[in-house]
Amino acid sequence: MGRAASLVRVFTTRRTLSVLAAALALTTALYSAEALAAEVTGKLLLATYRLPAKESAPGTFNWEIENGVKEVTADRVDAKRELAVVLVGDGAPAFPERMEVALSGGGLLPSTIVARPGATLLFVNQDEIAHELYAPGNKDLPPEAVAPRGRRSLTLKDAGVIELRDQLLSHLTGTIHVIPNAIAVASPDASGVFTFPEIPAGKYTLKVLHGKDEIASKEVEVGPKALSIDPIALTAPAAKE
Amino acid sequence: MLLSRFWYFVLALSAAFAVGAALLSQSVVNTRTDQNLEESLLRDRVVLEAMLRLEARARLDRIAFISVDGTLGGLLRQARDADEKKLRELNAQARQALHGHVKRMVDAAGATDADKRSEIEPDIAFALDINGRILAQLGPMEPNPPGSSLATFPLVRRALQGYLRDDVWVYDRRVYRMAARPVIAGSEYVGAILHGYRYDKGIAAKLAANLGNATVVFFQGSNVLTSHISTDTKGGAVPQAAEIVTAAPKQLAGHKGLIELPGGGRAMYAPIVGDAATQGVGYAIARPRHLLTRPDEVFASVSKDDVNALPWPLLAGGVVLLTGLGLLFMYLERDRHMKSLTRKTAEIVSGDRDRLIVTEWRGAYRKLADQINQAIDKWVEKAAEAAPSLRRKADLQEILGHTPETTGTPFFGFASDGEPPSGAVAKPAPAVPPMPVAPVREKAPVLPATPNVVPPPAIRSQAGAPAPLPPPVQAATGNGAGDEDAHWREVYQQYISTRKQCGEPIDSLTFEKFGVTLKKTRDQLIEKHGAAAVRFSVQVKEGKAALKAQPVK
Repeated sequence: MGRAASLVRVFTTRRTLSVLAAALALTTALYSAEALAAEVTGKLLLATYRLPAKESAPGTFNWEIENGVKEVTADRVDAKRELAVVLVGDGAPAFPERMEVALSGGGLLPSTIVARPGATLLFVNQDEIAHELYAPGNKDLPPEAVAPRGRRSLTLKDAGVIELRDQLLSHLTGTIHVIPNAIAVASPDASGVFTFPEIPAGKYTLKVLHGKDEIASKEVEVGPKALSIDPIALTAPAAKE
Repeated sequence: MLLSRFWYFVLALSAAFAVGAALLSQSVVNTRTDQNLEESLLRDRVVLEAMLRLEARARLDRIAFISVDGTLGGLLRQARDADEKKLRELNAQARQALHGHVKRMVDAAGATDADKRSEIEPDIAFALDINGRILAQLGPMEPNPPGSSLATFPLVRRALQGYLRDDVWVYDRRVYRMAARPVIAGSEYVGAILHGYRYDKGIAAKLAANLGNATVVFFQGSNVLTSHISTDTKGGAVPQAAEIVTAAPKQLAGHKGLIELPGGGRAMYAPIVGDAATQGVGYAIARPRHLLTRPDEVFASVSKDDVNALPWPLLAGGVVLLTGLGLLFMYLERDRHMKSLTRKTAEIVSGDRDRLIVTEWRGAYRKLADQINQAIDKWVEKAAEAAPSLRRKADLQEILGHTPETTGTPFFGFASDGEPPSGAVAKPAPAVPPMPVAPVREKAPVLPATPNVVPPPAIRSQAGAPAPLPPPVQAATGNGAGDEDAHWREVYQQYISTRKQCGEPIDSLTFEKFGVTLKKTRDQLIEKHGAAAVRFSVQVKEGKAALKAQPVK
């Protein structure tokens, strides 16, 4: 009896110690990881980013004249809708499996979409008119009507770039960048500020995409502390050429 | 006869030319019809686009009132940062402002009747805040809650930047001619006003009225938005809207645009100016194409002015000139000779002439005259054979006058070298009895009528009496050496002329040699027949010039 009790105590003590040791190790690991993820913020210099004048093409209007009362404003990029800031590198991705893209204002919001292979995009029509979104040359997204408040999904399979069009609205364009090693994506606000909340420490490439074009690229190294990237100048696609 | 026959060739050539010209005219008219039609359609397109441009400008000006409306400007300023709840509160007031805007437009246009009002009142209108969100709207979606956005539409983007701009939209599957203006409140842009008109308000008829009643069709893909079919059927079958839309090319942009319709007309296609062009919205102007199927249809299209424009004096002068030329050629080559031949054969009939002088004519008429002479000779011979009792009188007394008995024919000639031939003197005719000498006469005596002798019709008198026999050769009018010399010279000239015309040589035939022969012949005949004189005449025998000697008692 005494021997048995002794064995139980030994077993209990060893098991308890093992559990305690494992718990300690896990806690330590979690604490370390938490300590190595940091917020990354930055700002895009939108004021110097000049868009190509694509709306002045002949045949799209009879009259386009200034109002004569107040000076017209410059054509500026809608950063929230049109630009995407993405971190590319090795590491654990911070991407959701399912991403929602709005059909709003007669366009896509955002119109520059970044995702990893296997992700599913859900297009939600927030306009009061129907859309017929399609991807030219892509059998996975044929033209199909999406009524107001209607939805449509697309599962991304392979890496690459997919162009989006609308059969009912010729001005609607969008681009899906399917990037396997994308870590995180952020949308800048109207002033160009963007934020990645929790990025594991490591070296990444920060890319700014506008439609199918990459308009800026920067190498960043994320450490245990929050990182604020210097303002990023953008180069218009036409200017790059 | 060459000229008059050439005239027939000219006539045939003219007829062939006229037929060829008619056929060519049909082809030329059809080609010109196509060219004119193409040019007309190109002009129509320029005119129509200019009118659409002016119409777009008028629509832009119509919303000038509301774009400076203080009430709406204030509402749009409040809507800038408003949430959905606030937007709903502002919506009613904004809609009221839009209705007021429409009323002012109608009043400003003086539109009192329903048609004019429907032309001025927009089918759709929006009041947008500076973010492009709909604060209020008129039209089919008026009940919709505010907050939907039109921010990405190029028309809206440019209006929010301060531009006045037009466009053509396909919005909610309807096609609108849109116009937009920025709304300025205070010193800032607070939003934009948009309004649009559909293509079903008689715009096609209005445009067609300025295109000479052409057929005008606005379409989207295979759907006709609106059309005006021409009522002018003069140019052929008027193209219909369905036919035009069916024949529309799939790609309007970049296409030349001129299409031949199955029904025979032609249509000019063009994409609409605006964003909707990418949705297959375009227009077509069509006109009938009337081609001539027969050459005579050329004249059906000739107007009175065309007829009056012809150079009638020139044409009439040409007809008169050519007719005169034709008649002149006919006279010179036919009528003149025929008239002469008729007159002289009439002289033979009347007895004023014995034979025809063949050298007076040429060509076929000479041949005819020679054949007439031969016919006369044959008839005389037949008459003599048929009535031998008359032969003596006819041959010797009545025809040749009294001649001494002779047995030779009085024809003789000259050899090619001009020397008198041996035996040049005519041999006496066989079995010709001596004839009493008859006085020299101007006319041939008339043979006594006899039932056995029937003269040929050509020399029968009109009264049915027997025609006079060929008269004897012209009698001598004098016996003096001067008369004989003149007579010989005359005969010589006539003989030379006849030899020339018969193609015989005359080089060595001098009057002296000629005179020697005549003298020799004269002497022989005088001696033989005891005649007082001998007269000579020139005739053509078997295509050769020959002299005939006639003793004169």
